[in-house]
Amino acid sequence: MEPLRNTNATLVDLLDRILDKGLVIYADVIISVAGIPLIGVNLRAALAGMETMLKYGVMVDWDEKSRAWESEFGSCGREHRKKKVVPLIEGEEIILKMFGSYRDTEGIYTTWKSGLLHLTDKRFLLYQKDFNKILFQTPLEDIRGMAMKKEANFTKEPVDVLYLLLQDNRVARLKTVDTYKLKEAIEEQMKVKGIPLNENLVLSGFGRISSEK
Amino acid sequence: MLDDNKQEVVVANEVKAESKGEGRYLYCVADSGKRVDLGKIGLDGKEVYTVPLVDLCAVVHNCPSEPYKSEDNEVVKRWVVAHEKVVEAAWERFGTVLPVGFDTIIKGEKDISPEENIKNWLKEDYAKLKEKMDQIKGKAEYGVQIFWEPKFMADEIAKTNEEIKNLNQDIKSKSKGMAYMLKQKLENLLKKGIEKKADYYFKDFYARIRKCVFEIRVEKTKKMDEKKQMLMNLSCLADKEKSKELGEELEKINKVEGFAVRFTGPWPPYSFVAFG
Repeated sequence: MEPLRNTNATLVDLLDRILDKGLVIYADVIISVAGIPLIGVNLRAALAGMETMLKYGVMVDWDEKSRAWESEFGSCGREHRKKKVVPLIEGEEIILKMFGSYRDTEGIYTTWKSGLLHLTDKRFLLYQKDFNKILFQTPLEDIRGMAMKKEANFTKEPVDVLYLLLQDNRVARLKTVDTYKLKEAIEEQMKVKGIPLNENLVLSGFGRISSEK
Repeated sequence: MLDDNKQEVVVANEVKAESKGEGRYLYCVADSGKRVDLGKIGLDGKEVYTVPLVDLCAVVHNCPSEPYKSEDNEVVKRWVVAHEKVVEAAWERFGTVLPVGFDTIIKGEKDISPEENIKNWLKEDYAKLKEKMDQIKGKAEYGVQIFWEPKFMADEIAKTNEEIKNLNQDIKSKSKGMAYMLKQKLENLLKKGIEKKADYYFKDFYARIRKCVFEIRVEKTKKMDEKKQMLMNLSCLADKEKSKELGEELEKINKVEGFAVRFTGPWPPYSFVAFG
């Protein structure tokens, strides 16, 4: 068996290496965008699906059964190539839009999922263009409070993480290029809509939010 | 705490203010002390060249002191591919390289040029970098992903496992209610059986691959369709000469019914230089 070298067929493999790995330089003089996944994130999400691997002829050695499955999946792949726009409610206005990510604890493993954060006059959501999927959303009324925390990531550079305390004590964690700008924008919008925001939130060691009594 | 937040705002602003001026986009560190021009092969056609210190050099191009960003997938793809091509060109030219991740830029400071910063960094980490260079000399990284079809495995288990065979018979003959409960039991048994098989095959394949390579990193498997699953995702460090052995072993594994192997490489050893 010869290893695959073709650029198109191995783009996902290249991205896995080039975006997350390589020599790490612990110096003050580095600028790296590794902590905030702006680069390549859409591209990686777009390539993550099985249909892409099929498109590049990966499963050539598979047997009859999965070839039938291949054709079933084929139509799915075609749909994804259409240009997708975030589905808005009628009359909904976008206040702020920025790249960011959301901490997803629902899947097999906990991970940061990236996309376009949208703050509208009705809700706050994370939209993945390439999958045309709203990964996370909350009506503004459900936001009870917010807190900021600096968290270290694998590059050892601390990044600002925004914690949203939602109805039922659910917590959403978000990060973006300018997390302060996002926090301020949400606060502003909440004020405009007259939704009360708990100012006295305390973040304990495990990132659990509680209100100060 | 709100006070901490206020302090953190100040820090964030300071960091931003320093991010102006010229920088050096870093591709890799190479095993050579030569000052060389590699040509206009960098991102956006930038001129790539080396910054040497003793017998090592950083492979760079000049850029503004801020990260490359784009919303356009095609642009990002082009950059990523260009980055890899430069690392491979340096690999070809200099024999051994320590690849650096995408979008790593060395900036200058008030009285220190980015060039000086690079040399200072190379000087400080010289011993570690030399050691890493020795460890990976003559080696390349290979990606190995093994997929399997859980349904196929379930069918196999159903054929050979007595308890499951009996259950299948019972389900056919019992009432609807009873059959439902038995089906639940059957599903549980199959699930456990599949987990056991997964564990068995993982260990078996891992051991066979391990014999052909120098080092393995177990990577996260990717979520796929229900019908096909990624059983294992490995990054392997192997002598470039020995990749044939690895290929032969993978060919054998690929022939096992219900499994498929995906073999990629040779890659510059991105996964094996992380803790430099």
